[in-house]
Amino acid sequence: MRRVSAAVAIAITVAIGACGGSTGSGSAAPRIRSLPSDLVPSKVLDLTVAQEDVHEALNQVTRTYLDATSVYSFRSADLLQATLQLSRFITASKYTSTKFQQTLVAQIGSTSPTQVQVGDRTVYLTAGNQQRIAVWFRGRYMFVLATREDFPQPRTLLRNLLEVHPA
Amino acid sequence: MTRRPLLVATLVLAMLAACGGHHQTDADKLRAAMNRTALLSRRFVYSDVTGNTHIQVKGIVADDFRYKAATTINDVPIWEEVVDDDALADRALSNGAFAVFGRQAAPAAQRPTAPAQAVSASEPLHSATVAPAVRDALLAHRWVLDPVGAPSLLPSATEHHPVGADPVFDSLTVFRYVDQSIREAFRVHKFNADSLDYKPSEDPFPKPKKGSGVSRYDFDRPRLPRPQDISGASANQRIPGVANFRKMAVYVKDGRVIQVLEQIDVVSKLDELQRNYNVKIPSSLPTAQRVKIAIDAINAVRAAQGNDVIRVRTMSLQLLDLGQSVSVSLPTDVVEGSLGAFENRGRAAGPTTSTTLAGG
Repeated sequence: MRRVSAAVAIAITVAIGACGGSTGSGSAAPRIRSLPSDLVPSKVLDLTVAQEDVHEALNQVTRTYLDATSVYSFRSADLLQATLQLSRFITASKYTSTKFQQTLVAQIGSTSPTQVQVGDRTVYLTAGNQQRIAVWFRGRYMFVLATREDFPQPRTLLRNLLEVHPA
Repeated sequence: MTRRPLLVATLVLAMLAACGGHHQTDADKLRAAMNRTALLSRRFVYSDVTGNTHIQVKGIVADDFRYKAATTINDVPIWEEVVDDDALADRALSNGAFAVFGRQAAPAAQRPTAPAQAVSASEPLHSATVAPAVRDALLAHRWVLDPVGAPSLLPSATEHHPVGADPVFDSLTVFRYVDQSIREAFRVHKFNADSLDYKPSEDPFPKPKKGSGVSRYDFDRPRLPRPQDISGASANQRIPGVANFRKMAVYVKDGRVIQVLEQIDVVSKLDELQRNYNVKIPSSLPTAQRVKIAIDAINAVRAAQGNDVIRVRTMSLQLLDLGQSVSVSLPTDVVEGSLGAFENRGRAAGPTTSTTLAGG
């Protein structure tokens, strides 16, 4: 597992509040665990996948709708091309609610998310600082894929990662 | 363990907004129908008529990243396109395609006519970025595959896509165009032939058949600006825009959009334009010429103000086989290379290179 610097800002969902929230108002999370490293294949396209160590960033989270999260990096040679944050919601959250999901998505990226259909999945696309960001949901899990803006195969990578089915 | 910064910077520290009740307007219902429809695979037929030029795009959409489209001008096939995620395959069926789809030196926003009339036929192929093999393949009407050249159909703050610059793009983004039209309309409402403000003589669109289950949503035009109206902080005189002339109707069945019709109708506004702006267009002239005089004058000012010009067009989109299984696959007999010489496609600049197709 790689360890990332404290400067890393991962997509930590700390959604607190009103509509679409949990039965309580967020969870005073004792600890957000890591997900298994083998949830994502070790090679996708010709990119090497590694799980990153984000525990320092997670330690700073006090209230969250997540009970587990992990960040996976995708590198060609030594160059980081993309990251995937895979997160699992606590069961008390309304993770199946479209409103809940859209509210979370609206807080990711710097542009209004655009909803697209890729295969049988609804994917929300937005942009960050020289990044393309795709967000989708599957069961209790939320996926946030960020790719370098000049990465030439963002859609192909996305479609490959849509095949990831956490148990 | 290594320590290195990650690329991603997507900090979500969410505070959910308080939610209140919301009365659903007809515009909301129409948007919901568009959203539902956009999720479905479909076939479509898009038509754009300006003057004597009729552009038609027929296509199949498996999902937002997999589609194919065939374009004709005045019933002559000119261009075929297949997109599969990042990969793009194009085939020119007529040299007229290069004028329509070639990257334009002049902003397409300034071109009120069909692109086919705006540039010479083979201009894009003379670009230094077109590899000889790609040029030869296009001229021989063979498929060219650009493994990473798929166009982005997403809204962009930096890229401008004026209507008419790329018919395939236009055909695939009609819902976004309708959404923009909703924002520009004075009002969007469900069609009601019994309404006191319904004027059959001003309605160019077919009425839904009784018992068909089809609802029609109509767009009311905002009033024409008056000469004394100014536009925001710029203090520019407000000039009529396309919304002032737009008649639009969207047909919905079973909660899904099945047809979009638009007519940019200047004729019915000619008298008001002359009155408002104290100009005289000889009534002895043919109607088409009177419209051209009026629109040319408006467009001259719009272009000077940096705004898109008005295209006097009739547009339609028919959606078929919604939700039915469709298959889109790239052609196999291809020449590989960059399609960056074409509008929205490939990389605009840089050397032409071949790349291995993703996933093998």
